[in-house]
Amino acid sequence: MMRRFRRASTASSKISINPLPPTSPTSDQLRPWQFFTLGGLVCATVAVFVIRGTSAENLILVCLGVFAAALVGLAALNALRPLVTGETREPEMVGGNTRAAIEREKNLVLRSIKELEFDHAMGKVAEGDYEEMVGRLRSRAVRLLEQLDKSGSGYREIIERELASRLVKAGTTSLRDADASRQMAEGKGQETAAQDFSPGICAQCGTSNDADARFCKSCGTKVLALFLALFIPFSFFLFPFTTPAFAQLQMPDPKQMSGIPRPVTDLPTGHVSVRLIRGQLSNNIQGHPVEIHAGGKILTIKTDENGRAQFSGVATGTTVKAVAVVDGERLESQDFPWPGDGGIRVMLVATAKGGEAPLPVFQPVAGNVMLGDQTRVIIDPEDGSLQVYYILDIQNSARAPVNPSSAVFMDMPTGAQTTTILRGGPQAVARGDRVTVTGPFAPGATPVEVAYRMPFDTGDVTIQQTMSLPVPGLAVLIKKVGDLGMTSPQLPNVQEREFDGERYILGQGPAIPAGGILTLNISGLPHKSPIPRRLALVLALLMIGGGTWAATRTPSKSADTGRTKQLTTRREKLFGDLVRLEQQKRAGDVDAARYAERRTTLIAQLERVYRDLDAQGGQGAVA
Amino acid sequence: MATLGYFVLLSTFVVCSYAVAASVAGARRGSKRLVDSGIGAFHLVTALMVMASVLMVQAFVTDDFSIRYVWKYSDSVQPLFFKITSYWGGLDGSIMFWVFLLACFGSVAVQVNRDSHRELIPYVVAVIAGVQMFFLFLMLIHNNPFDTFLTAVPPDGKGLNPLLQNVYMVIHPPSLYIGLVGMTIPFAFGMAALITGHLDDAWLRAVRRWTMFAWIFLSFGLTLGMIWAYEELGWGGFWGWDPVENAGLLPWFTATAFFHSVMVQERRSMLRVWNVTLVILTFFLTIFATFMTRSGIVQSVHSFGENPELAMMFSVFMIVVLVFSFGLVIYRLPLLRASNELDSWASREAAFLVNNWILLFCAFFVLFATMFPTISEALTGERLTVGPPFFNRWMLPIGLMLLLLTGIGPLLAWRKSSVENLRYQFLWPTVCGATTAVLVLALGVRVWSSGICFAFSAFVLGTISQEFWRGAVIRRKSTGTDLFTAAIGLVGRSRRRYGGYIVHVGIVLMFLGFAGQGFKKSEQVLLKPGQQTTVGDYTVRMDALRITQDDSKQMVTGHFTAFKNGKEIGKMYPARWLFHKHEEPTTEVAIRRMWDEDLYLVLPSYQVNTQSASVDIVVNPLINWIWVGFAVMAFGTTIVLLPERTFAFAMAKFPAEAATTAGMLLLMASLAGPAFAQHVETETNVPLAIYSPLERELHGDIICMCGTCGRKNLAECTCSKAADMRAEITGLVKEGKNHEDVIQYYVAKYGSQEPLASPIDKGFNRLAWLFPYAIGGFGAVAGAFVVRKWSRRSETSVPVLATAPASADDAALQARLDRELENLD
Repeated sequence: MMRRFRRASTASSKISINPLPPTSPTSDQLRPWQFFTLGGLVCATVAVFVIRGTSAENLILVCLGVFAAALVGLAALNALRPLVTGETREPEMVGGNTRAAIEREKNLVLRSIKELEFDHAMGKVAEGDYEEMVGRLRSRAVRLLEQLDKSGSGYREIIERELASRLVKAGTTSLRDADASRQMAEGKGQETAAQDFSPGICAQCGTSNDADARFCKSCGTKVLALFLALFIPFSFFLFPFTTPAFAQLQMPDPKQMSGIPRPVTDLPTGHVSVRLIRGQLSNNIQGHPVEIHAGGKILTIKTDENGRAQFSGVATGTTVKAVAVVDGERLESQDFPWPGDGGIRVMLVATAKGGEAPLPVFQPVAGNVMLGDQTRVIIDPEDGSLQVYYILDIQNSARAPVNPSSAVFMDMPTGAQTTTILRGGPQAVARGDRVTVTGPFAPGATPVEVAYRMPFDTGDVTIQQTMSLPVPGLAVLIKKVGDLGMTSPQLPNVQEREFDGERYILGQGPAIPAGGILTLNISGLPHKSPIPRRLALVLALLMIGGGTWAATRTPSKSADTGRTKQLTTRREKLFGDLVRLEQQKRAGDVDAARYAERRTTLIAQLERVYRDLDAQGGQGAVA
Repeated sequence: MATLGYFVLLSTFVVCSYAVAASVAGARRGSKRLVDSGIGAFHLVTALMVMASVLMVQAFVTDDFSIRYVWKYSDSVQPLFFKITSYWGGLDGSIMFWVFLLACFGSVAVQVNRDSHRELIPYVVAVIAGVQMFFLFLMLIHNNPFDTFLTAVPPDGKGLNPLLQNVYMVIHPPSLYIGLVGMTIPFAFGMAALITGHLDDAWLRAVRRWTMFAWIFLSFGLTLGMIWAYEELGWGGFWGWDPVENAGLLPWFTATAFFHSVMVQERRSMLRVWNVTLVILTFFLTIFATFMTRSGIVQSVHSFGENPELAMMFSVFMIVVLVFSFGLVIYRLPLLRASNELDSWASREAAFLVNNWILLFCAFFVLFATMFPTISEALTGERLTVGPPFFNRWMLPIGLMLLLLTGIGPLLAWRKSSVENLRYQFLWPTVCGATTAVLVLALGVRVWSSGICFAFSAFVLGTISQEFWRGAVIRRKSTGTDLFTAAIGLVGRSRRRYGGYIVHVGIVLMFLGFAGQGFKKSEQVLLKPGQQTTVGDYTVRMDALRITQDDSKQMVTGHFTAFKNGKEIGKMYPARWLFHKHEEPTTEVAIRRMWDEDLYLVLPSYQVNTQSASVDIVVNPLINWIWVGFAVMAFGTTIVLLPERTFAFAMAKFPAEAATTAGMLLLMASLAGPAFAQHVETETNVPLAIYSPLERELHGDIICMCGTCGRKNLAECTCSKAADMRAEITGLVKEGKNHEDVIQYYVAKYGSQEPLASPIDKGFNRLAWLFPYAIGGFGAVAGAFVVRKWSRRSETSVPVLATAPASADDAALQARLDRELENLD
């Protein structure tokens, strides 16, 4: 049987309200805390043996973890035991209060009297006030002393008398013996007490990484270069005729990134950093003024040694753009809203001096464009979302620039978030979920790259993309993660391939006409099940609901009768235990300390039963 | 490991809900079983949080970068110490750490008070578990610290912010958290007292020590924050009224007010509603502080960034707390009626009333000024800055008033002081204060505000010395020992009173440190090797600029030699560290500490090719007295917190501790270092950039717009942007622009009043200037109303009988009482 824990306290004026360690009063059987300590030691030993060879700090932490688990076990047992066994922890009671509370109160009143006497001696309290205040405090102290003394004459006295008579009835002792044992027990008692999409450029820190880098060399964030590196070998068997535009993918031209706002988290909230370079990333323009146009206001800051100018102080959501004029060349960013969450980095790229020769100027003519066979979709499954990249190969087969009758629109699928133009700006602009590419289109290929995030909660996602331009053939590439699979009515040829030790799913299909829909059904995505969390929330709600119901429900009259019966039974049981304890003491089966402790506990429980019986209808005193 | 951690958190949430339900249902139904089970569940929450914390620390130590939180705040080369402390380095972990601390404190508080406050405990458990549930809910819904990468696990983490890789910053947050979390315990007891109607003084006694414990940790956290700002941020100051710093200060004010007003309730059974209100306000402000830091509602160098969802959840929780707690106060108002009245304004209780009014004024003023930019932006769309000048304008006189009260309060008697009594008590402290004032005037020290501060400090020290002296004399008479033993015995016997006086000594020392800031000298100059410049008594010579490298950073270090009055006092090495994984370089200041002042060098910028460096030279008088003052405060608080039975032990150890303290002071004094004669090359002296009074005034009124320095004013900021702005101001002044023109120039340039350290007293912003007057007026009216009410009651009240008629039994008990009182010594 599980034994109860208790706290002992003193009988009289000695202050002793400190808890005793939990003990089992009458038996030598293993106590719960001993059991869990031993269990913890054994498990920790086993764990250390199993993971031997790892670092010392790991071994220490594993041991701590094991002991924490043992502590959880012990605490769980303590939480459940009162419900299962009905045993509760009984402090010694004096009237309606615990003895500890009265002892504490008395001590505080005595201290207050001493303080007042001291104040009086220091000349800080007038004579009359002192008399009144000290008188009041002394009366209170005397009442508390009386209250403490009553502990021997209230319920306790009734209990002692009843015990003595029962012991006599049991024929084991005389009244005098019983009284002596009570005194001894009392004597003993007194002594106890947001994502980045720029190729190779890291979203987190803006570092330029190698083309084949999977993670940023500076901060470890995954970078888009993975896909570029991955895509290159595939392109050989997919598209035997690599275009110049694709060659640019391998060595990104900073000019293509010019003016594209990039939300980042490494800047203070509400800050925008504009970087000014000439031609190459390594060629920062220092000490040059950069402007932020926010409505009618213009903020100007000069670039620092890294070519960066950092702005703040514009109201969140204000549409702004960064502007710089370098050697007469006006550089402008796309319009973007001032960030309210994180910061934004923008790069303005001036044309390299003495660089490319000016291209011959052709007047644009009316005509149409279409998507070329280099168009593809690349999907990177991430945690909770898919990063989807459209590499659009807009083809103008004419010799002169073409200006279509209307701009090329492409609406991203439902659910797409943070649509961003990676390449092709400022000709291509993303506003909300719509990407607009305006003419004129140069002869040949106009590469445009768009990225968006498609969040998911379950393991299945369907992406439906309406193609605004006809596509002669399409390839979709998705990294294989876990049991991921992909089907699409438009991509009859789906196969798995391995590259660099990792698996990818490649889907290829025939031409899709303008207005046709590409449907991608992606299944088996790694995701976190919401069930445990929901279960915890439901359980918590049930607990609180149940608690509220129980708290508001008042016990009925019939329940009172039942309660009286229950208390009477408990009183008899406790007296039985007490008599047995006295008999054990007499027979020398229990040592003095345990006897005293157990006896105090039983009497405290009996006091409580008597008081409860009194509260039920005054039957306590009649044993 | 992450899955296990997540399931532990889920279980903790469910167990918490059970603890709330079982305790309340048990208390309402009188079921001891349910109450005991609820308490058991409450301890189970603690055990589960210990386990979750061990799992989190293990994840950091074993570099488990599959956990996002570990990836974000640690990396493989991070020293073990910082790996462990990264646990509370970020938002998610700090919330978990919060619950862990609350669980530990809650368990201890419940266990300690389980028998002595039996009727309150079920509700204490329910309230604390309710607060835990809120924070656990945040973790489960929004900020799961065990969230993992599902697809690709990064090979290495991002690493802890270099600014946080500092020992002060490692101790500062947990210390603040202990302070903030600890305030939940008094709140829980207060709520339990209100719910059960047991509104006598018992609950106050249960929470007094807890509040003091939390308070000293809060003070420690704030002081560590100051030391960190002083040593790590490199702007030569220690308190910039940053919103997050202010957030920690708010509950400090109300908790300090509580310590004082609680004495009035204990002695005179007055201010009962007020004390409950202070406990509620303190708890509310701790939650508000957490909300400010984590929701991104205010702009600060410390904040975790904007987080609208979290802001919303916190707002709902704060509204629930306010409605629930003040609803209970209103419900229980009849039980909270004061049983005594204010007899005279020349009384201790009146001094405490004024002290409370000032502290509450401080709390509301700081809260309002901190939130004003946010309020202004929400209402007018214009973001403003309420910078240090605005705060200092109000807090300086208020602080001095508080200092004076620290000296006056202990001299006044409870109830009322007679004229003779006042003369007897005030004579010597006033002599001390007046003598210092005359001395200060004779030495030509500025009267406002340093001179007044010195005089008030002398007055307070006079008061405290008098209290110790007179107390020791009385004790010597009663115990027959020598004066020194009597003084120690005095502290041991009246730990709360004399510990409190020691805390006051600490406060005086801190004020002396603050007053020293009035004599601060700060200059910036560009030096090349061999060149030197002079600031005050100090001459600083640049020897070299060197670049070194280690695994994680590149270090650019300036080598300087410092001289005082021509004698070399040592080498100093201010530096800039450029961490490979972090863009922003860190400033490593060089400080030469002396008992009377610090020489403080910062290297804001440098040119490697020319070997030149711009260096900020700051002479900070008396600054170390702030840190010494805190140490004294901590010592005083420890005396107050010492349990009864340790008194004998403390008595035995006291001389040793005194020796340690003296040793520490000697060590600080010896930090001045050896002095050697040194020839100063005058021909290489570089004159300082001399600013006109208008320029200096403008430097104080305009803040740095670099966005990363925490909106310091131009006089204090050491970044290159501030240097540019100072140069710009010099240009504008040269163009003939006056103060108003320059202010208008910056308002036009940035399109708002954001670059101004204080909002212009016009339009909506006038509210910022009116508020302190409004709150002061309101306080005066409310005070007058309460006193009037008390006076009326006084007229109709019946005198209380001093003593009950004595009986024979009573005489025996009185004799026993006298014996027990004698034994108390």
